[in-house]
Amino acid sequence: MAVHLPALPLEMLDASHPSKDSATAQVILDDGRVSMRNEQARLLNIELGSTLATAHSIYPDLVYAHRDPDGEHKRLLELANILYRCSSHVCLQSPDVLLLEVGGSIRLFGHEQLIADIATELCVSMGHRACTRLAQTPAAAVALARSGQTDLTQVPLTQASLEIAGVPESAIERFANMGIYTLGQVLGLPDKALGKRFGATLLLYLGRIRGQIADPREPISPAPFFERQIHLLEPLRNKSDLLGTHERPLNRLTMELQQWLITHQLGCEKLQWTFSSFNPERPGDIARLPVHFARAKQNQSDFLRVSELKLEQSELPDEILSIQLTAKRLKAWDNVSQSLFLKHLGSKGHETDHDPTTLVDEFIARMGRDACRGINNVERHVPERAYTDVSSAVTARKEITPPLCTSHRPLWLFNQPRRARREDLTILRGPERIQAEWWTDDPSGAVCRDYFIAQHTSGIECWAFVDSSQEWYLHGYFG
Amino acid sequence: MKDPYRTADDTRKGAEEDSEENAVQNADNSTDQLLNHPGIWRAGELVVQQSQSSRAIHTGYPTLDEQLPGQGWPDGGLIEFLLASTGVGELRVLLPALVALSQSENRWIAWINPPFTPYAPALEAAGVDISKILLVHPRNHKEALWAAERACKSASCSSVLAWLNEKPLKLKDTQRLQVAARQGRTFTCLFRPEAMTNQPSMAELRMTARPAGSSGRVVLDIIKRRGGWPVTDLELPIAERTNTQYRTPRDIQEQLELWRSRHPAPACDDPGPDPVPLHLPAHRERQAAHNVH
Repeated sequence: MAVHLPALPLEMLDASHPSKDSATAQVILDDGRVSMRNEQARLLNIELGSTLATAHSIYPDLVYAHRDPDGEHKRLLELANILYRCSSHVCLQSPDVLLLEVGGSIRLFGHEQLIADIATELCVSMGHRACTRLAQTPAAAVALARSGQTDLTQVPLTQASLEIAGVPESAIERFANMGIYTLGQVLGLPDKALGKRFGATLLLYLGRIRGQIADPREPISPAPFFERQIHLLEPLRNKSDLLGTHERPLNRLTMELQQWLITHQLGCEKLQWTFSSFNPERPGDIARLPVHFARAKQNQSDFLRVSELKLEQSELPDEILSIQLTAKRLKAWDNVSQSLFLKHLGSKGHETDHDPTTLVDEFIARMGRDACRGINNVERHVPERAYTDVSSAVTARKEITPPLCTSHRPLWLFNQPRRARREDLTILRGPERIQAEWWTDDPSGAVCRDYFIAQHTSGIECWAFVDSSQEWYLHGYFG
Repeated sequence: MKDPYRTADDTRKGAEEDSEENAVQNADNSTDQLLNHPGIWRAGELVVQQSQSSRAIHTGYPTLDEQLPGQGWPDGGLIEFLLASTGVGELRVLLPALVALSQSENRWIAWINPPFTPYAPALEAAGVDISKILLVHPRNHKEALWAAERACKSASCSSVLAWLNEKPLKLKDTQRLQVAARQGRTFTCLFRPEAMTNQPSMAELRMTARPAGSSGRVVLDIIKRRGGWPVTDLELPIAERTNTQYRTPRDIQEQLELWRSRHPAPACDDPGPDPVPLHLPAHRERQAAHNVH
């Protein structure tokens, strides 16, 4: 299966220019001449092959970019990583085609057309138009996808990717002079005569299209990490321009992360945003925002919601020209089945399949990492050491230690015992001697206390103790 | 069945009577409907019926349930506790509800800015599932308010317990919390000092809590409730929630003095004698055995 991205350079320009007006004319220059134009430029009659000066004279606010073969190759590789979901054998066919061996995936997906639909949909979600075609051989699939035809014999020679196969352009011209315009006409001619007139390269190409000659392609190996960057043509000065619609940089990058994670069956527990200004006067003007998740996440909306809260609290460079998203901590995706029809309702009519860690992520993003804690027991006798505050992720996983002693303990415990006067307390129950940790190496940790339940003169029931120096302390309230 | 001997006049008259009857009946129906409307309250009647969408959570104290609309804590809506002092017994009043919520729902019980540490062994002993407890420590009042409102609205929280800074707390803040709690149908409690009793608040239910004359009990005054007049001096036995019932404090005092005179507290490196048994008169020994741990 071949996936052709006909407007790849233009779409890359779109990503770098998020604040543009939809009516902006855009062109791509190759060797100083317009090689690609968007719909607006076409309506303005900016012709392909015209110079930049001509195009500018027609439309002064023209947005343009030069072809960047390296950038296009990189982007193609990123897309190949996403399409890895459809096939384990994904190859690049520069400059604008991805090849997928789908024969092995049919059993999984059920039908090859379904794979083609998924691939097209994925490309669209990543901001690219795609033309997908299926054929028996890679060369035939490329020819069909690039021409947009469904019948190989109808593919015009000008769009048959002959140049990719190394057949010179002059050959196409010679064919045209002979009245041969389509691939079907060429395929109908005897090979021997064609080889004599046009050389072995054309025969090799035709042999590969027919499947008579092996056409081995080297598959990509999926990247073990995720790092994407968007360089902007114009600096962004407002946080609100960073996210919102699907064209905004944060939306684009998180969508890519989501697709990448799904492809690799991973979840992200920590990601990092890097915003830089490239300001030569302030070279250190870079903001790095780590975003943590209590449970590995895969969904764009989760990434965006928590990132937005984090952004509200953070200082960014005045002008942002580059945005990078890196997945810092990845975890094998633990897929939880969701209910098919809306949400189940619990006993009190609440949604029960809501992920409880979502709220924790939001709190942490807004108030810092220490803002949310859970509590757990510790198997120790000394009251202030018999509990600990733990990450809420731990309690969310229900890793609870059973308590050592549960009887007659107060609901509120003071972090530090408070000095009290004996005469202020009316003893209600006790004593309970707690003498512990004298066996440890650190003698200062040893405790010898007689605990009492007492009523303070204020009427509050409290947990008090007297230590070996006969001093009285309050250690908690029964609440 | 129609009467064949009725004249046209009779028929007209009958029709008029019928229409009058219908009108009276309709008026009765519409009055009933109006009086049954949840927004209408007749003085002297505590609104017991709740709409289908909001159900009450039993408090665990029948005497308190009787005084609350819907026979329990409102499920969704702000409850304000005005405390003589923190620790007066407010947690034990709420404990049965917290136990029920922690065990029946897979959602957080959020403690926003608690004044002390909720003690895990005690909560567990009382039956609270401590894996549902989420302590939130905001850095300032603004964050605390935001966290409380967010938690109230979230479907991830079954209940929210909040201790907010009183100074900057405004009437509209209580309104926001009330609306959020209603929206999220979250059991929400805001703890405030008793001095704020006369301050206006948009909370659905307001009550003060103060210690009773005898220990192990708390006295509540309901100063605002939906569909009812204020109620005062509602005494609740809270000691059983933490299993801290006792019989006679005086016995314990005597027992303590006796014990301490015989067994002065040892230094830490000396394990010391076991606190029991005590040598008490026979009639006291049985009581001591009950009281001493």
